[in-house]
Amino acid sequence: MNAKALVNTDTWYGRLVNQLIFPIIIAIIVVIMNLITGGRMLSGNGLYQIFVSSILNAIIGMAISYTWSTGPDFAVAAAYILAANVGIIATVKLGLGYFGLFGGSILTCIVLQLISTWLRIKLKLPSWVLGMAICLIYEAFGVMYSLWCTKQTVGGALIQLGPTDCKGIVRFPADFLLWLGVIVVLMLIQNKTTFGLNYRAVSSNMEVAEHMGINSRKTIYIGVTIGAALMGIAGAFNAASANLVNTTSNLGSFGQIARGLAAWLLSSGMRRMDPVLSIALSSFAISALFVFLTYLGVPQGTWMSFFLGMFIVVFLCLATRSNKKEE
Amino acid sequence: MSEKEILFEARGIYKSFGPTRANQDVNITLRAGEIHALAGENGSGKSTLISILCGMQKPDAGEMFVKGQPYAPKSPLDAYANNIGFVVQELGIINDLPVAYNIYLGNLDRYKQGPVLNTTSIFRDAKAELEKHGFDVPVREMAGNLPVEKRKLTEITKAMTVDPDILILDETTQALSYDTRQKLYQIINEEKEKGTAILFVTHDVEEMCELADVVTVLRDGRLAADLSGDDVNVDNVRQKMVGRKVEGNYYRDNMEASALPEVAIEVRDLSHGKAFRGVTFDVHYGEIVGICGLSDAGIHELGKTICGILKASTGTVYLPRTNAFIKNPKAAVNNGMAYVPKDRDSEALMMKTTIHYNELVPSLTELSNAAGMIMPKDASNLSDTAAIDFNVRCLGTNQAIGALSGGNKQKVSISRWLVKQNLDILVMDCPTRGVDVGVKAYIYSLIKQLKEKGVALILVADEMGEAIGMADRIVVLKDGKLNGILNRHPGLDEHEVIEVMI
Repeated sequence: MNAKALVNTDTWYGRLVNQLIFPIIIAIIVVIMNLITGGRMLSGNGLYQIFVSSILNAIIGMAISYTWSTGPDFAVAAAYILAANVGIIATVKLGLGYFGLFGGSILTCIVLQLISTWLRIKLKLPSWVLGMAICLIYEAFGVMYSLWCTKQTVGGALIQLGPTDCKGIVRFPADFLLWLGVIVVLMLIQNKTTFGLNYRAVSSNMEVAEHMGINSRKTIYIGVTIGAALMGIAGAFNAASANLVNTTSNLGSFGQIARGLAAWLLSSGMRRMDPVLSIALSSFAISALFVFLTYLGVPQGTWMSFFLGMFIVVFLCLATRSNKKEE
Repeated sequence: MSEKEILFEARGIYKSFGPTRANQDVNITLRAGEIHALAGENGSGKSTLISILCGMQKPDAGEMFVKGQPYAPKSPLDAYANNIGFVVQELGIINDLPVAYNIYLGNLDRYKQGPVLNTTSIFRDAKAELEKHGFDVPVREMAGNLPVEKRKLTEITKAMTVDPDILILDETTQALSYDTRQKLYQIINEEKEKGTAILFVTHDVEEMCELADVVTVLRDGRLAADLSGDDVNVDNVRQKMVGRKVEGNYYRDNMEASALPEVAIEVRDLSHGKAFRGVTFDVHYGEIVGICGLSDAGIHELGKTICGILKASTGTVYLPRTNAFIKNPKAAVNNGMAYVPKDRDSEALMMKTTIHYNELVPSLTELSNAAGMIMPKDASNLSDTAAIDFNVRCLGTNQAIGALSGGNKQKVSISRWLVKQNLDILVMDCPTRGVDVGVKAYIYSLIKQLKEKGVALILVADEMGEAIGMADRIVVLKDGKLNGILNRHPGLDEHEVIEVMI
């Protein structure tokens, strides 16, 4: 059997092989990293550490796959931070617990993203231009809101979750169930619902999708709502994990979603794999890389970013070789 | 006029885009079991009318009826609901979805089981539907990974899934090779037998007259003629399309081969991957060599490899006059060779800029002065001259190239090479694809002039008539191998070419 027949999507084993190629490649890379680090990465603790640090970026990556599918919208980064802070306030000030944290964060993120999307569609401006402008506005709101909230506290303390607030969600098995739940629901939506296929069509070619009778505007709004809800979940999860999410200005919020974005970019090289699974796998690979570099003593910050950038470039070059036109 | 049942009627259709009146008081009637062709030059309003029929655009005025009932589609879904199946002119396919989903997209509700879709049924039905028409297209493959022809077959299958009472095909055959075209003709004839009304648009007037029972001709957005019976003939249709008498044959007048003795290109044992293998032939100056073959024969890849756009796996392309081997496009251009691609929008033209820049790009080296600067006046002169000399209908060379009709875009795609001083060899891939009869005649006259001037021409042709009508020799490929070379002679016809092809 030749290689082409092995990945032929008309056979069940071909489809299975398509889903397994990249997990196997990543597994081989992790095994090599494990050998280099003297077996530390594939210990139970090492694996859990990689998995836990991949959850947030996987959810952000999946959120971006929806909110950016019709163009890059930087507003989502600022919306993520602002929404997480609203969730924290709802928990701390109103005592709403998980409901406040997740509900506040999700609702705020959806409202902010729908406003941004509505403006984009209404004004017919390029998404990246309007997204940057809205990002600056949302960041300013985030900083102002955060300062205002701080002033309300005794001694001007930062608003943050208490040491025991909403911690259950970041412990095993709740974190695993959240990750699994998001993946299962998104796979169902993307592969098994009319909306999911319509959204993939609109993301790929809006004009043709409209010619096929798809209501692109409605589809975009639903897609952005799903993406924003995921971003809200990510914001709440991050807040529960770190107790607070720092507000930033001057497009600094973008840095907070950078690894999630990297996971989404990396997944674009895994075209034969299910898109949702490929984002989860990419996020795992990025976390593994960071854990590996940490074990090697590479300093946090610039060098980590350097290796992440290099990893994405090399991986995408190799993964998309077969898709490139022969020259 | 026929007494067959009227399935569709449009009366007094008007549609304008700004100052452009695309359709003015257009009437059309489609009857059961009748093949109805819509003819007209580029920009005559055919595609606008079809987009209105399919629900992609709303008319400014006018009314439509399907089986006597008022029909005012708000979207293509309304067309599907009225059993109108259609294939649009440009590729109407979602590249990032599998073929099966493309076939049923917009009409997926029938596969719903509760909130989710039964995707197994979608793949099974799509496979069965493709097999029913004899199309070999993998249903689970992403549509974007497939060649243009298979994507077009996916669109045709999609149109057939609505079990159409009315089937609309807008310039569908131009993307198809000879053998696949025969399959489409078979489908059209079967649908005719079943009582379907077929409306189709093609720029190939011969094909139109071969198939159509009735021809509606549009000119400048208005109804120019309704032809049926003996009135449906090539000369008559052409005359009604352009509004004047067009001489019968726009190909070469004689069937004698001629060429200068000097060899322009030596192609030796040329291969490109699995597309084609071991092809060897020469082209002389003042000679037109046609390249023909069935789908997947590798004819388009051969054209690209000769010009260095695709890398040769084995073999050489040698130009004796300049003693040069062509290994990349730069070497080709530097040695007086040019290539006009088949897909002008994605491969030939820079669609986001103006006519001026498109005309200019191949001549930048010639326009540069000693300091490497290009004087704006020289640049404008060149693009203006090209546009005027080659009759590009435009508001000026600063007009966006995307605003031109297909025929005028093609004139830009060709003329920018012809204004170069050192053009010795021109390779053209289906140069008359999707252009109207007037532009077609113009392009053939240009080819004849170039031959007279001694330019060596390679004409990659999906239409056999084009190769037979224009070429001195026809290189025929089969399954990627050279299957024969036919010389031009008075008795040369399609049967002779098909024999070598098959």
